[in-house]
Amino acid sequence: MISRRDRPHIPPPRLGACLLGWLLPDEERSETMGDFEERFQTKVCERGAAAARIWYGFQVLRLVPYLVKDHILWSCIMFRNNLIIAWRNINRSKVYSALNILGLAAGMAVFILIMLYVRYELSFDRYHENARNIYRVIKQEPGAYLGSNLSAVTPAPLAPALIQDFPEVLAAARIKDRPDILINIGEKYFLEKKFYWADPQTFEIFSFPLVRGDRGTVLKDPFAVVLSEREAHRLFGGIDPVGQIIVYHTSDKTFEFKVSGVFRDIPANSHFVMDIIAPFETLTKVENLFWINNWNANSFHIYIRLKDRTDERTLESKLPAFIEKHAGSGQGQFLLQPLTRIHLTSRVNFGLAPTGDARFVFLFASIAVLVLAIACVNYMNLAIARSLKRTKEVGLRKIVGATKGQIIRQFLGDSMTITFLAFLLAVAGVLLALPAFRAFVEREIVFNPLRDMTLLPGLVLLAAAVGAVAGSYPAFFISAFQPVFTLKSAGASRIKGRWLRNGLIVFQFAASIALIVCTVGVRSQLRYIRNKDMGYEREQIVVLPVRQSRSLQANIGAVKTELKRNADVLNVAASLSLPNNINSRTGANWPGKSTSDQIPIFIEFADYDYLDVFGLKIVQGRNFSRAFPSDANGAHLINESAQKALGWADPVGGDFGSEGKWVWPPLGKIVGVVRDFHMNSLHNPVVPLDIALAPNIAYFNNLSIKIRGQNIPATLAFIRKTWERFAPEYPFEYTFFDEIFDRAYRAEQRLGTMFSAFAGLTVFIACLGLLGLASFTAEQKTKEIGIRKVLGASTSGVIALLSREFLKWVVLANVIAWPIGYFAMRSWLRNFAYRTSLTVPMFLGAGLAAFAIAAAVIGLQTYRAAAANPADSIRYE
Amino acid sequence: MILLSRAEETVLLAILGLKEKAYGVSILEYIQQKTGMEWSLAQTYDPLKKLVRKGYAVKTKGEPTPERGGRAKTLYRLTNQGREALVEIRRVQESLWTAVPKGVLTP
Repeated sequence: MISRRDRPHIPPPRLGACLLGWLLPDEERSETMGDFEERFQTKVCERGAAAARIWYGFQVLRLVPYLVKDHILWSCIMFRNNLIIAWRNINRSKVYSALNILGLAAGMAVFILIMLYVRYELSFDRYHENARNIYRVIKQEPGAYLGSNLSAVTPAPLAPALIQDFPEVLAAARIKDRPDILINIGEKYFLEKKFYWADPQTFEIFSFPLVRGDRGTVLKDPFAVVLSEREAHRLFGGIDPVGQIIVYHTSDKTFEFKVSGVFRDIPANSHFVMDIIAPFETLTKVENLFWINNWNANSFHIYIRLKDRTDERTLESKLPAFIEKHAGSGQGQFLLQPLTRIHLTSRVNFGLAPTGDARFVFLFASIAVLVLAIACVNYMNLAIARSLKRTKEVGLRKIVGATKGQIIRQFLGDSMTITFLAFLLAVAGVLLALPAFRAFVEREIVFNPLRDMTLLPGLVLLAAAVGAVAGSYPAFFISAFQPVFTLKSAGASRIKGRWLRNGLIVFQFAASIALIVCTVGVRSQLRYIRNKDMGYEREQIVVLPVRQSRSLQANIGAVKTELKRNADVLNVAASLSLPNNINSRTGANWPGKSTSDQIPIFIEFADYDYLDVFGLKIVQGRNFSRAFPSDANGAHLINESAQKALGWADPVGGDFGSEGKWVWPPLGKIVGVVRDFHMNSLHNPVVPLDIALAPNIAYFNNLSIKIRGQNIPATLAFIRKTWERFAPEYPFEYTFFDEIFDRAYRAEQRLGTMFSAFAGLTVFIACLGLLGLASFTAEQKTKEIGIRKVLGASTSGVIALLSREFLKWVVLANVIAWPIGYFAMRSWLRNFAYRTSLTVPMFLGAGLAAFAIAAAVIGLQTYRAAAANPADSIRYE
Repeated sequence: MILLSRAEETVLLAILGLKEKAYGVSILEYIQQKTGMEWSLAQTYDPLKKLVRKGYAVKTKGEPTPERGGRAKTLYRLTNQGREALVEIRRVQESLWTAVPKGVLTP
């Protein structure tokens, strides 16, 4: 044993000592660390430095549970104490607390709702087991069609060829959608909205688990069909569907299919949903699709599944040579689109169902964050304003020994309590608003935090984060008070951090005003759309879809005559499309056309009454007419844009189109030029259009009936009776043309509603904050107001004085918000080929509205202070 | 009156035995020496803290020593309450022991 004096001093291990110092409370640190070191030195003498170090480490570790236990105990006691104080503060000033909780709750509710939506949008198609290896084959062709040069439809022979040529393609399936198929089961007729022809591989690619039937054989029989559970229930009720017969109707034939299996309902967060699947190969037997194996017939959707860890880019780069080999040149470019990106990132034409819009989701998400930020800012503003009333409390706490950290914790506790209450309110709000919100975004969003294991932690995190963010600045601000100043009452008027609070007001109002500008912009564009002369009429036109009803289509002449017998039916027209949405495009062709003339032209097939029903105007030549029998052999009306594109000064009488039975456009004489009308949404410019007199009834999808404004219910009943006479097995469905027209702008209407709601909300929250601040300032200046009034100031003068300070920040907010709103709206309006212009009054109006609301709020709040009797206010404090 | 726990009693007795020199390390060493059992410092702090909170012992500041890295010792002294508690627990124990019939524990 070495004497203590003889050896050099060995310090205890640094890590252990540090840990110890950090864990120990201040008042015990010196004692405990001293004991540890003394004991350590003894151990060094007895067993040597190394053993002593190990001993020290173990001793520290053994101390940890004891210290932690103590720490938690004290935290709980302090927490309870803070909670009581927070609760007392809430109770003491109920209005202020209500404003605070309400503001935060509104912000959080909106945030939760929108994040549910965003999460739903991002979840599309991700539930498939092989989601990462599934791709859709899409085609890129030069020349944009309705704003995109990509299309989801590809030729059918591509699928087998892909499997044959590329070993990395595990499966490929062709899918063809057939909406509005009539089927019957015994006596009962059903209209199938989601009938699909698909290869059996569909079940290998997608995770559509079969409840009945075997994955490998379920579509083996050419006349087998598989149903979704929902559809099986609809068609068969409680009866076992497997083995049942479904009769499929085409225009002239019927086919019997046997149900061979049932698959679980496809979740709503899929980019397409199927209800009945029949084997793809049978399509050629049922419909006369002699061109099905033609590489030029881009009519099918092809999905492929690749081997794990296949690089789709490499495969994509091999596609041009592959296509060249099979189909020759001039086929356009084929691309692979990952399944999970179809919903949000596709601007692809002819998809199986409408997809979402990533920009809308992004916009939604950013507004959610903005609203939440405004709510937090609101809390900060109110809390700081309020805290100046509590300076004495803080000063006293500090004097009796509270550390800065403890005060910070106390005020964070305050904000956490308020946040928690607001959070509960927000969750209640979400539950209340969810049905309306679901309808608004048209998504089946569910909110069930108790069931949803990823949602609950997210919500808790949100509440904690909001509490921390909202509470942090007030907590640091307040804890920095100097007790000496705070206890002298003069301290209360020493307002620090004023620029920041004013900055927060500016931020709140700038955001509100920018949103108001956006609201006004979107609304004005919507008004523009509503009022713009589209070139066609859209009032009092009833549209019947006749494509689904083959017997109606076959008897279209008789139906028309029958309908016209009613005096309230003015005219009836049959056509391929409707004038607001003509989307079939082809290349213009005419006898003597040189190969260098490449004029894309949209085409509509119609009958003699089309122009009359929709009120389209002739500028040159004449309308189709039964008085000219030659029209029946082929006649065209072109629009002014087509005339210009073709460069023909006098096109009337010229030949147009090419010969052949199913060729577009068919050969015929141009009989007239029709005035340009908006044949597509206002997003797209008016382009060359050819209205061809339909050579046969197979072209007709719609029957448009122009009716008189009187006796509409009776007229509709008559139309219904006629329908039931000609197509008793089909459910009677009609739409008014103006509804169809409005539906095309639903995205814009939704945007308008969304902006209005958010603008209202942000203005509301911002006003809550302003209300708190104004009342605080009025309170602070009680004496000043009193003295001013004694010296002769009027009430209105005092109100003006108090308001001016805030209103100047609102004015500044305008200056910031206008350019933001301007650029946002300008870029949005650029999506439209025809748009309203942004005018100065829009901006002034938005600014003025915000200013007026703010002034009203402040005025009301300060009036009380200004109207008070100066004798009382001077004696205040 | 709440009875002392075994650890509190042991520590109190150690403070009493050490007279004026009772502080963390000396208490630990005293207990180890008397009981022959290995104790950790953490095991002494817990009862020490409780004793101080209950008012059975008080802390005073001692002199710093080089072995302690220049830190002052915290010395512990018994209060009158502490003495009473010890007397009480001894009385309770003795009455319990005398109540045990002879020959039950020892053959």
